[in-house]
Amino acid sequence: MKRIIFALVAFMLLSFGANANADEITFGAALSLTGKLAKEGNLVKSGYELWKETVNKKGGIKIGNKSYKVNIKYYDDESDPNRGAKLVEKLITEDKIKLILGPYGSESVFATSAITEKYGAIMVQGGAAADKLYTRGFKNLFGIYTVATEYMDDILEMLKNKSPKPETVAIIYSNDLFSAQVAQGAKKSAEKYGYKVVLYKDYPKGTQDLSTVIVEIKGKNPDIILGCGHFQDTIVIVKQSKDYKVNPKAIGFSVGPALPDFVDSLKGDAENVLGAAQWTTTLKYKDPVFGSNTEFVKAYKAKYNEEPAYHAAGGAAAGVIFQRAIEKAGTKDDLAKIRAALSSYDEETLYGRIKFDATGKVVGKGMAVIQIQKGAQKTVYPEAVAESKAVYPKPAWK
Amino acid sequence: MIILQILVNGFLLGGFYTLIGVGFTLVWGVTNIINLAHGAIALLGAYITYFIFQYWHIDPFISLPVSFLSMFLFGYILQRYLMNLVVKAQIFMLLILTFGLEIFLVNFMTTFFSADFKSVTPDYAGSSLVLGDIVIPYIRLGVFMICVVVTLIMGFFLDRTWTGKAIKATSLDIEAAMMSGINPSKIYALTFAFGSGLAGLSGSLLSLTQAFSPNIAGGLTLRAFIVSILGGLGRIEGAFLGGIILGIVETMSSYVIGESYKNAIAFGLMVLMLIIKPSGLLGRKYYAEVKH
Amino acid sequence: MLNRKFFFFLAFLFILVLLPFVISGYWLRVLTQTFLFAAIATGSNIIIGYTGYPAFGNIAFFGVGAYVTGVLMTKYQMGFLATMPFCALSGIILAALLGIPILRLKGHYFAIATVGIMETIRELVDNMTELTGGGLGLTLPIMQGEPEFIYKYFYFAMLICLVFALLVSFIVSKIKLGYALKAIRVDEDAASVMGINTPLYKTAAWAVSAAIVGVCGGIYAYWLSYIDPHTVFVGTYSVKMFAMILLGGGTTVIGPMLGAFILELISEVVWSKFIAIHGMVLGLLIIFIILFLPKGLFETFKGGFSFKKLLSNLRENKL
Repeated sequence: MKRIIFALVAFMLLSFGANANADEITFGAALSLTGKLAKEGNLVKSGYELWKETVNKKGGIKIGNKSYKVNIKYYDDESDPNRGAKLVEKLITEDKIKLILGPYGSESVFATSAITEKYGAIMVQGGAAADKLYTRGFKNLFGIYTVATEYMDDILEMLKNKSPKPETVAIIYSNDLFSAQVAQGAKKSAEKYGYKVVLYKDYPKGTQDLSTVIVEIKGKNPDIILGCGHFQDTIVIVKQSKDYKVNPKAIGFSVGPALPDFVDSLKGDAENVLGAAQWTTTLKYKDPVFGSNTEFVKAYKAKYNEEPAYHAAGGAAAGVIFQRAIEKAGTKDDLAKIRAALSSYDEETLYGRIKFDATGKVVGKGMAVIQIQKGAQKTVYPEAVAESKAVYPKPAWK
Repeated sequence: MIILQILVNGFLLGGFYTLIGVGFTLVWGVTNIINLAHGAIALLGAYITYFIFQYWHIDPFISLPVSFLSMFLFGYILQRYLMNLVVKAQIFMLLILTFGLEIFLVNFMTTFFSADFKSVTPDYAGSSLVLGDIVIPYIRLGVFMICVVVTLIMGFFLDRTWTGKAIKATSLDIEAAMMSGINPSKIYALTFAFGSGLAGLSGSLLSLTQAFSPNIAGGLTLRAFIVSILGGLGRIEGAFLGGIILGIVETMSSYVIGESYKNAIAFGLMVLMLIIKPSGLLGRKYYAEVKH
Repeated sequence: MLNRKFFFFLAFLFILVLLPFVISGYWLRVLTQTFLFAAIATGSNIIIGYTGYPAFGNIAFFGVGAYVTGVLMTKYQMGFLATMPFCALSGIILAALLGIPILRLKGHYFAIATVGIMETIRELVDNMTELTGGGLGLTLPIMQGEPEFIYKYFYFAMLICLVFALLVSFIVSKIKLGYALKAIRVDEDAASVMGINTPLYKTAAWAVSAAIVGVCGGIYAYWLSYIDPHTVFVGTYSVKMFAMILLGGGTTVIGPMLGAFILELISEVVWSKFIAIHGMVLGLLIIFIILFLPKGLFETFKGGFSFKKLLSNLRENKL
């Protein structure tokens, strides 16, 4: 038996290797390619891949007068943050890659960024929004998602000017890192805009029945209901609100409406639901690598045969920003210079105007507000880039 | 009258929990198998209903028999050709076997159906019966009625039909049953088949009331556990009682103490029951325990 | 014979001590995790394998230990090593308290009760946001130092924990407690009739296993530097631990450790070769172990490997 054990260990010791091609810049990414976040993880990967192709078609990343092709090494973290941490450690210590593209999901970014910080590697991530990511004093993490506490601000801002003017808000949230912060921020924003928060309650993560909470909401009769959870809870809330005939003037969610499955799952009941979106296909930003957001969308559709979701755009944007920082720093190996270039980064990209504060958090980006109209997702705010006007007040469920 | 509405909700939720628990408790009480893959099998039923609805637009209530029958068959094959191989071994072997099965099924569903949450929303979803202040969603009412009917049918089946009585006999004394000409491996397979069929049925009904994905399998099995412990193993009426109690405890505790504590309370209740009366509210010493 | 086995074990240990200076960070991490599971399995074996009480939810103590370290380090600025005795203590106290009602149950019921406890504790921790961070999780202070040093540190920490667990397990098996537990496992009623204070010994066994598992949890928390209720109170770890005990044999001291090594290393290999379907392969693997190797690898192949032995279990257990 011991023979077998030694053989296994020896076998594994033999199966590692590193690569160092002088004309390439290799990035590393440990993503959820399988497991419960597989869909989102693969979307982010599709963004990374499109960026890689686009930049390589133009010759690669320009440093001085030499161009370097982009290469990305992927590992599957199986939607498990522990595994992700292990794999990022592998990328850094074995594959000798110090430029890391982030995974998807707050817990995964939390765990993997602790590893990159430990080794002095740099991570740019377009996959997680928890504010707490940036309160650890890290120097090597840069995130482009608007943070959780700012998620619902734009929805509340948009609604305060509508008439009949909404006065009361009910906020319910799932008890997990990301959602709790969204709710905290929502409450602050609500108070900022002069709303009265009549209900503020959490529910266990992944719960399948929210009838009691819905009934309580009904009792308070709020003008606005904000749901801060995940896709599963959003579906339950919509279904049960309809079941119990709860008809607010507006109902909005942090996660759900921006995803294509939302309308599929709810069909007609998705109508007029509001959602916060990191990014939508109709935003008219310019981009240094793709030309513009519109062109990015076009290129994505051409390659993958479907509209990009915000995860994919986030992935591509992360790549773009990394590239631009490297080009500005003029080096692919001097991490201090690249880090400085990222800290001082200030440019309009397909994802919006990206600028980081001292903690690596993106500032001033805000969220777009979308609404499901006639079964399609429409950008309704900010008005400057809106596709259509928001429907308000929301007609009762049919 | 919020409390009344909450009570009604609890009842309706309880009906669903009963259905999830009935198959589980039957299998456990009769064959002494704790089927950790119960939740996963329920989800297979949910996916069947979902696909039939998506691609052939057949109403989920009408396609219920399909889900029941396919899981019935699946359970029969599973028991007869896989689980029968280890039935006589230590109890925990079976437990881990079913766990291995659960891991396999959940990953199978994730690989082929993806981990995305799916839901079945027919046109009449959301319409409700309104009695004064109380709102009773039609779908939930339908689920509740199906649960009651199924529970009654199963009870009748076990008490009045030859096969049903054979199942009861096998669980009470397997040797005597064999001597009466009953083939225990067939009976075990049949019981497990019923358990799986009922699981599939409850999964199909689940798809109507909420979003599902392979990852909720464990939570469903856990609920089935609690229902079985509360009501007593092998007792259909026990599952009914256990289910209703769980439903009401969940909704009431959510209202009185807080939504986020409802799971802690549900599990705590189960542990309490185990300490006070392990055989459950309606159970006597459970059948198989007599000789194991 | 004891000496020969012991010698092999020492040689194995010696190699493990040398490895960090030869191999890379990733494999060290894999081994560190293997040591973790081996320690958990060895510790839990005292109640599961020795006493015959299937504490399926023993991971409850793992989670509690993780949070003890987490809270003590973040809220009370305690040093990492100083929290270790508290982890052990938390396990002992919890097991002693819970043991009174729970150890009266047997078999299935005991197993489920322990799972119920694990779930309840998790939900409670999830809600005690003030103390534990609740659903937002807890970030532990990151260890200062060169990465090379850090991963060696945790490698040795887990290794020492494993050796400690093995030592405790060995001592238990040699003293009166061990014999009492064996008697309980074989026939509890007879043991009680013979004058063995079964509740006392059962509780002691559970407390010892809880202490070891708790310490593992504490080290794990510091290693990962971010914990939340859903990543430390994990049912899957319980089953893995059980499978390891099964595979390696529950009646010996090193059985669980060997089971841990084999299962973890096989998982690594499977994962890297079958990325898309590794989950399914793992499930099938477990089914395979149950069908063909329920007595553990070593018991089954005592006299040498043969297919006949593999199939013999089937014949025995068929209905």
